[in-house]
Amino acid sequence: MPNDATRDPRHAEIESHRGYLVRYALAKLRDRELSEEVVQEALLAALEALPGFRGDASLRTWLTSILRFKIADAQRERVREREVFAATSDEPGGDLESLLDAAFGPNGEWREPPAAWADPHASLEQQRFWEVFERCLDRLPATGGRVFFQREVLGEETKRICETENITEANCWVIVHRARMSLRTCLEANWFAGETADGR
Amino acid sequence: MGAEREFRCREAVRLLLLAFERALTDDEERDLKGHLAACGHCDNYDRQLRFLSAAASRFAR
Ligand SMILES: [Zn+2]
Repeated sequence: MPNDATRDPRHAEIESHRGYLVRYALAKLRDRELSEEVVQEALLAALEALPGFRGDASLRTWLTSILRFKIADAQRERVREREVFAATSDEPGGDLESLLDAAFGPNGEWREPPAAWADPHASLEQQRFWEVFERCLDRLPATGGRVFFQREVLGEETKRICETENITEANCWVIVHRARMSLRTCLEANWFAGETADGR
Repeated sequence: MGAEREFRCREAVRLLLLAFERALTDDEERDLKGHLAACGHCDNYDRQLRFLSAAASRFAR
């Protein structure tokens, strides 16, 4: 609500991290509804604690640390309820070759040769870029999105991620690579296609 | 050089992806570097994958 947001400019700023936080929770909890609830709790807790936030860490880092406690609570709760979340991979991993088959023709040539992206690092400073980035993450298949997020955003060990996802390490890598390739295609189509036009 | 074989874009991208999983062997490294120096498409792809990793880790901050 705009009225709330004007009270403390940081309220609106906190809200802008919601998408990231839900993704973070989803990577740990693998349940969208529960993740959204947990993030909601974390954001409410953050609003209360906001006056004490000194800004030593970035706002996102601070919010994530609050969220971590809420996630731990939710995980304990889940164990208590003895809910068994069967770890199933909801899409086949396939193998590296089938991934390459999709990108290359019979003679090993690019089906769609990658064009240069104009000054991609400047994009990192643009709010609009991050909106597109998040939308592209949302388009990844569920397991792909979770695994990519844990591996590339949180920098966790692939071995550990595969264990929690209950998939083989080879399969896990293929899932990350597929996510990587899809994300690249999505950013190209929705961000860099417009950017490169005037950049070259 | 030993058995010469055509090193195609497909092999280059296979190595680019494998490099995320493990260190490449010297031979693989050499083949890949050679290909990237000569192939703009794969060089673009290499830069773009690196950019994605950079963007992803930046996303957490
Ligand atoms: Zn090439």
